[in-house]
Amino acid sequence: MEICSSDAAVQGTSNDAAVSRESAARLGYIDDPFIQYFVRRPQRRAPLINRGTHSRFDGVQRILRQFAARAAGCGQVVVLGAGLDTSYFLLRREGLVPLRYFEVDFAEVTAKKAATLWRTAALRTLLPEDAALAGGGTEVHSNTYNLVAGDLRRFEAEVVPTLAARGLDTAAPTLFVSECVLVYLGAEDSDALIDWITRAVPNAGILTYEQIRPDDRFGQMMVANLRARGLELHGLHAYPTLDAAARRFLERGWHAARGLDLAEYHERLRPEERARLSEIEILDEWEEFTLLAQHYAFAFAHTAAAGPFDAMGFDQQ
Amino acid sequence: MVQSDLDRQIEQLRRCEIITENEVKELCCKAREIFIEESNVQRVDAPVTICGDIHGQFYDMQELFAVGGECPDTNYLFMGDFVDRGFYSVETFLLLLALKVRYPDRISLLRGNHESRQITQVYGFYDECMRKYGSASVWRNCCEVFDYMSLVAIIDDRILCVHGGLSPAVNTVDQIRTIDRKQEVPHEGAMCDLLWSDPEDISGWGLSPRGAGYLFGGDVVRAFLHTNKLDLLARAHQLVMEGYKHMFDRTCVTVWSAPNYCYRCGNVAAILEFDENLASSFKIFEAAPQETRGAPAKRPAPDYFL
Repeated sequence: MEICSSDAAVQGTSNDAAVSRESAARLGYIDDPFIQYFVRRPQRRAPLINRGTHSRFDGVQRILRQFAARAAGCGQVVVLGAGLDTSYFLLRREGLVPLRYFEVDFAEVTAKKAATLWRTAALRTLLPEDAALAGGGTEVHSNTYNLVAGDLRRFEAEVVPTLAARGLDTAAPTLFVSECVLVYLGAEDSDALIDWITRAVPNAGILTYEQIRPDDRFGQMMVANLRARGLELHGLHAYPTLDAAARRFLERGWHAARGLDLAEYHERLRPEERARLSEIEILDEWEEFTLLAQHYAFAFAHTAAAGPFDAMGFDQQ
Repeated sequence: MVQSDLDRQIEQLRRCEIITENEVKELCCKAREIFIEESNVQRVDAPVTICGDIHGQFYDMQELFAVGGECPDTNYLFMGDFVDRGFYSVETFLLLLALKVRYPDRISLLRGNHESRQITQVYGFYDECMRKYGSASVWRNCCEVFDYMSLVAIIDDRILCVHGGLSPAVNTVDQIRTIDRKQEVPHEGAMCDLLWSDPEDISGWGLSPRGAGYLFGGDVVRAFLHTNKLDLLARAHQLVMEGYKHMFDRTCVTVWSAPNYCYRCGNVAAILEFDENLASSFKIFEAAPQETRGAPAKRPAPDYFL
């Protein structure tokens, strides 16, 4: 069935993202000693992919660390479509762990992740002491870290009860993270997810990193090339611009929202950091990097004027 | 080399089929003998058609020839970056080289910044040679040829053609003639700058985000053209979505000849034709349709951030 094969392709993107992240980590673009455990066949990515992977990683880690520091002891993180993301372990390594940390993905993905966590000493020792495999090996449960299976298209009906059962406290400040996840959902499904957050979590923040600009020539080719791999960006046309990526939150009454494309994020890296990256590999394909990076955007939004989110953003350290 | 052998190799390469390792060795040897006789500054007579980056996009180069005419019917000047990024750098470069050996006065090949040992090891040509020949000897032979290729060309004493652009170390064309070019592209200096620099809307010189070469402004171009009694700087090196781009009151033009660059960018490509009076016109072309790419392409999909 078409739906099943496209689900498999979307699930495959977690491997693709892990391969890119492992490439950037091995070459020294980013500091992630954990991603290697999730990649069976490492590849060396092109310099422009490594450079973009660095900016993406830097942006997500920046917001996560800000939140972990400002909501220490009370904050929750929910990583939507977490794939093989290692952020929990990176925070944990530095003792920057929020009160509760949830990762949600398709069972096919969480099963692979749970198995790797369990058999890899370097990861397993960073899990909370009460961590246990659950759901027939597809989940990891503990009081503070939970890896759970669920289909984001049935967020309220299926994922929310799972999260609630694992201790999600909707009264606590909660950061939701989506890296190339919401865009694969139809707009009605991702809207429903955001509507639920808007209704149910009074002090919520969200960081998204998704494709934008499907309508220029690069964007059209991106859509066509991904389609050829069985990947449909169902939600892309509903929120096709940087402005739209931020406005979808403001229109729902969120307190603040801001979009920043990856090219601009890279522009704003400290000169010393950019110089360091140039030392790793020559980035000759400058125009192409800019084009590619203009088709990905961060959006950071939060619901309330008070709380940890108001002092967070891409300009803060 | 017997001419009929060479013609057969050209036919084979035109079908995007590789020639043997020994044939490559002989071809490279021949090509080196031709390039070594050429000055750093190649003299080219109009009419001529100038082309920008190809980057191993073999089937798209066939589109270029379909639009611009076959060599030797059309006199060509390629401004470098034959290899890396695309999937057919081997076939692309060897075909151009074979045409050069067969018709040395009908095709000129300038060195681009990717015609370098260091860059080809990062951007794909080295890996492709290893994949297609199982050893590094073809790559090594090609790199030796790179070292002998001209740095710039001048059409009818009026138009300077170069892969990247100008250098703060070069005020006159004669200074280019004094460069010892038979080496790997250095990390700095005149030879590096010619292959790496980019025009930019600034005055004077600026730092390049590429980490090599410089950015140069319209005042730099005008001064250089004036000093050397030239009309135009034609160069390649930068992807432009429309295939070509004029800058600085049409004293500088960028020509880009790799359509849908890296099978990802969605751009069109261009070649620039000069007739015998140096009247110029662009020809625009698009990527070769999938069905002309021969066997059902098992090419890996271009990378994105997923």
